[in-house]
Formats: sequence, structure tokens, C-alpha cells
Amino acid sequence: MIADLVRLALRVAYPTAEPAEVPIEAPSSGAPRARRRPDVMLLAVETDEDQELLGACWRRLRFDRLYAEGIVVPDDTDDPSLVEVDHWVVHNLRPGRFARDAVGPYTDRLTPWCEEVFRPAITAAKAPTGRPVGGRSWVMTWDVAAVASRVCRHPGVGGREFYGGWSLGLFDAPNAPGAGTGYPRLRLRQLRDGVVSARWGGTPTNAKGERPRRLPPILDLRHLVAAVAGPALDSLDSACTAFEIRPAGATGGGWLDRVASRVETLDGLQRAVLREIDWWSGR
Amino acid sequence: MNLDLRALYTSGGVATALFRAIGIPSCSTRPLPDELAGPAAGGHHGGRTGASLVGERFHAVHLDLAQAYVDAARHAQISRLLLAAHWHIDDATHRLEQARDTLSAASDPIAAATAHDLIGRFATTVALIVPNGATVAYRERSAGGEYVSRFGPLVADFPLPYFGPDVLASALHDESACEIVRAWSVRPSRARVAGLRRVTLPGGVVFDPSRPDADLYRALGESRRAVANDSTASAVVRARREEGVKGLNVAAASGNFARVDRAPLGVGKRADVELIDPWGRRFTSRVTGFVETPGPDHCPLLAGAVTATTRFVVGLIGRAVTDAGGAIAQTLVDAVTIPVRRTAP
Repeated sequence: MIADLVRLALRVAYPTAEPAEVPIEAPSSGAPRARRRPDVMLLAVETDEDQELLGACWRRLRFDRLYAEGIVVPDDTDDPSLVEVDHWVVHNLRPGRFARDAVGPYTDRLTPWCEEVFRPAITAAKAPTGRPVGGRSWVMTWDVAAVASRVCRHPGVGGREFYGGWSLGLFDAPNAPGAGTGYPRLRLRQLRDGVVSARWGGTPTNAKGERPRRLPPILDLRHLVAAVAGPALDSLDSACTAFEIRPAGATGGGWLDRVASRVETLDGLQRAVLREIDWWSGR
Repeated sequence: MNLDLRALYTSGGVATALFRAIGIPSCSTRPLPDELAGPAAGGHHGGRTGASLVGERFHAVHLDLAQAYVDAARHAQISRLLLAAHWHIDDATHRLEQARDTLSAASDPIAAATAHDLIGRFATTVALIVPNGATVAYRERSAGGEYVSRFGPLVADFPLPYFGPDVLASALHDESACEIVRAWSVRPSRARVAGLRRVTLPGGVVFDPSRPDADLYRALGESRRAVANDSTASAVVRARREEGVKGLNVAAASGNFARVDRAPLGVGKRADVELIDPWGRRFTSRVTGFVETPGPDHCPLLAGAVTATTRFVVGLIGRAVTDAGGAIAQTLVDAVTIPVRRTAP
């Protein structure tokens, strides 16, 4: 199973907080339905100018509390700083063996980095414009299609895996902590003429036969930008120029630094686009 | 208009959100009878564009009609149909024949079209015609199996579906008169649909559907101009917002009416779908690869009316050019290219 995940360009699934360490208390059954918030799945996927996967991280919240988080590393990276991670993935990552300290030097950096990545996403998911987004999940990426195309080109995967939808296998590890409660999959249903149709895929039942509640919609920045500023802005650079965002530069040469700078740029663009949507909405 | 981020996926998503904010019902709630739905779909899909090209190398003036689709929708009175409680369908065969003959005999077709409000009266008219060599847009299947847009004399032994403006435009080109077998006119009821709401468009333009003269497309045109001339915004912001409103306008005037959503079927899977032919006959076909389903505002009648109107306007321009001794190098749905001076090869 994990070997399959590796071939899907997903190298690391790293929950830092297992369910047992974060007691989750659901609101009482008598609480109003609207206040009983289901899981929040936040995902940040980054690609470079050539639509190659740079990396991703994800965080899962339950009742506004951190439940699990992890990073996604492209399998074809040549970054020497990731050798140790790669070694760990190949030799140690097995279903049910998600060790907190297994990624060595990244242990201390992961949570702060995810915190930085997800801070705007969490803010946006709650109240980007002074009101709920409408969903409780947020895919913060320039182009979901780019990620899909990267997967589509991968040898051994090709159209067979993509046809009819692509699953982000990170959430499929059946024996990972928390997996039994239903890890959703990101499925790209359609990729044609620059239009992406993505949705949360089938979610397995847990041991009690329960399924998670309905998952919120998926958006990506490219299409948000096109919706309010025209389809001509088909690159991140042109979108940043149109929204007067100065791309952030990487502070270091490592993978995390490069991805973080990319995320910082997207964060600025996302905020600008949300402000623009507010303007369109007369707020 | 209060935009829902879930609907904000393309300009079409914004246009859909706008329609729902106003209270315009989905076009799926306004089914046409099969005898009209078939020709409307056939007229839309069969003649979306017409293109012709002459000469090799030349200097040219290219006229691209600004806000072509929004203006076409406005003159075609699409807004009245969207806001109407009901659509009425009546026979327009004789009226369309009279209008075509009037236009054919006119020395100044633009003046005649304006004086007789030919676009407003016939944009949402669908006709079955036997072309008899009349100049119309059509699609021809190439040797490779793909459909190619053509524009020129067409001969057929059986009736073909066209929109009113296409029939009128054929009278601009030559003496060949098509035979109008039957024509239907779709008109809005005087009563408005219930639940309409006032919205504020980008740029602060208010659209009030309760007003007797309410025209969504006039308001959208004003919205684009207001955004483009907003003195409180920087040049970068103005340009960005104008592009955004332009996308919304085109989607609201045309794109959303033609929208179909494709769902992949998967390898080796098939599905039975119900189709309607250009003569209103329903049949079932087994397809592979993908299934197309109509979008929420899919309406070939409105989509075809708008594009046929732009073709008619382009035809009127071309006629004016040729009457003045000029020539037309190329025509598109909403543009025309006029050669002004030949150069050495």
C-alpha cells in the first residue's frame, strides 16, 4: 500500500498528533446542529512553474482542534536535504508505523511550518471575509490541474489511475492513526480545456460503519482568479501582477524553504482574491 | 450580489450566481416542446460560426465588435425572456418571410433592420428552411470526421434548422431565397416570474428587475463601463476588474446558455442517453467516453439567438462595406476583416 503511495508521488504521511494524544470531545448531543462542527481538512498543494509537484502539507482539525498533520514530498526530488526523509520512507514507513520522530531533522520544523502554511487557510476557512466560506475546508493551491497533470505523467500511473478521477492516496493509508475514522480522498473528476472539476472522493467507513459528514467544496486559486479577473491570467506571475502581489523569495535552499516561499506568495494572492470577491459582493 | 465561493469557479459560475441572486429560474424549468426544442438545438449547434477567407497577403482593418454578445442579448431582448413568468410560442412563418423580403428589397439594410426592429422581433425565432443555395453558416464534416465551420451557398433536399437572424442575413448576400417551411417565435409573457430581487452589480450599478424597462444586459454593459472608469481605483485594478466583468457578461449573455458538463464514463463503460434530433424526434443512443449533461442555464434557444444576432450584425456590416465598393476578407461570429490594400506577395 505504501509502495503504491510512493509511486503516486507521495512520500511522507506524518501525523504529528495521534488521536489518543488530543482528546476530542464532541459537543453534547443536545447542542444545536449548526454548532456541532465536523472535521476540517486543510490541504496546501504547491507546484512550480512547470507544473511539477513541489510539495504539500495537510492538516486535519476536529472541533477546531488539531487532529493530524503531514507533509507530501515529490518522489522525484533531487534535494539532498531530503535523503534522510526518503530513506525513512522507503525503509520504515509501513501501515500502522507512523513514528513521530522518524523524519529526523524535520521533526521540530514540521508543526511550525504547517502552522505558518495553514494559518491563513484556517483563518480563511473560518472567516475570510467576515463570514464563513460556506465550506469548512480549503484547498490552497494555484492549480489543482497542475498537480493532476504531474500525476498523470508519472510512469506507471498514467491514465489508468487518473481516468475517472485521481485519488490523493495520502488519505488512503488504511492503518494510519485515525484512518479508521475515514480519511477522505481528493478526486479530480474532470480535467479538460483548463477546467477542473474536483471533489472529495469516497470516504470509507470506520469500524463502527460510520461515515464522516458531508465534506465541503474544493476551490483553487487559478479558477478563483479567472472568475473575478478573467481567464487571461493563466499564470501565477500574471495573477500576482494583476493583484499587485510581490512574489516572496526563498530564504534558504532547502525544500521546505522553497515551498514555504511559494506558499507565502499564494497566501498573499489568496487574501487579495478574497478581498476582490468581497468587492464584487458589495461588502 | 452575494457571491458564494462554491459557485466561483469560472466566469460562468459568477454568472450563475448572478442569475440566482436576481431570482431568474433555471432554464431547465422552461422546457420547450420537442418540435421546437430540436430545431433550436440544431440551429445553435449547427451554425455557430461562419468564416470565409479570401486573398493571400493584405493590409486589413479588423472590426471586432465590442461587447458583441451583451449587446446582442440586449437587442434580442433576452432579458425579458429571463424575467418572464412564461414563454409564449406562436407561428412566425409568414412574418419571417415578410421581414426577409423587406430586407432583401431594401437599399439600406441597416436602416431597414433598425426601422423594423428585425433583431428584437426575430432573434428568438427558430425556422426550418430549405436553403435552395442561400448563403448561410453551416458545419461540414471533413474527411477526418471533424466538423468544420463553413459559410456560403448551401443546398439541401430537406429542411434545416436556423434562427431568424440567419434567415434574414441570407437575404443580404444574394438573390437566392430559402424556403421557410415553418417558423416559431418565442415571446415573453407580460407577467414577471415571482421572487425577483434587486442586485447591485460591480461598479455600483443597480439592476432592479421590477422596473418595467428592466434590462439585465444593459445593466451589465453599464457595469463594465463603470468599472473601467472607476476613478477611485488604480489603473491595474480597473483593468483587472474590467476583464472580470467582461467574463461575467459574456457568460451571462452566451456561455451559460451553451454550457454542458461532461462526466467521464471510465474505460470500457457505456451509457444510454436520450437525444433529440433537429426535427424534434427523440431517440436513445449508447455512448462511450463521457456523458454530457446540460448546465443549470443551458438553453440552446437563447444561446443560438445571441450568436445568430451577432452574425446578422456582422452581415449588415459586410453588406455596407460591399455596397460602398469594398470587400470582406473574413467574417467571424462577432468580427469582420476588411482588406484595404494588397501588398506584393
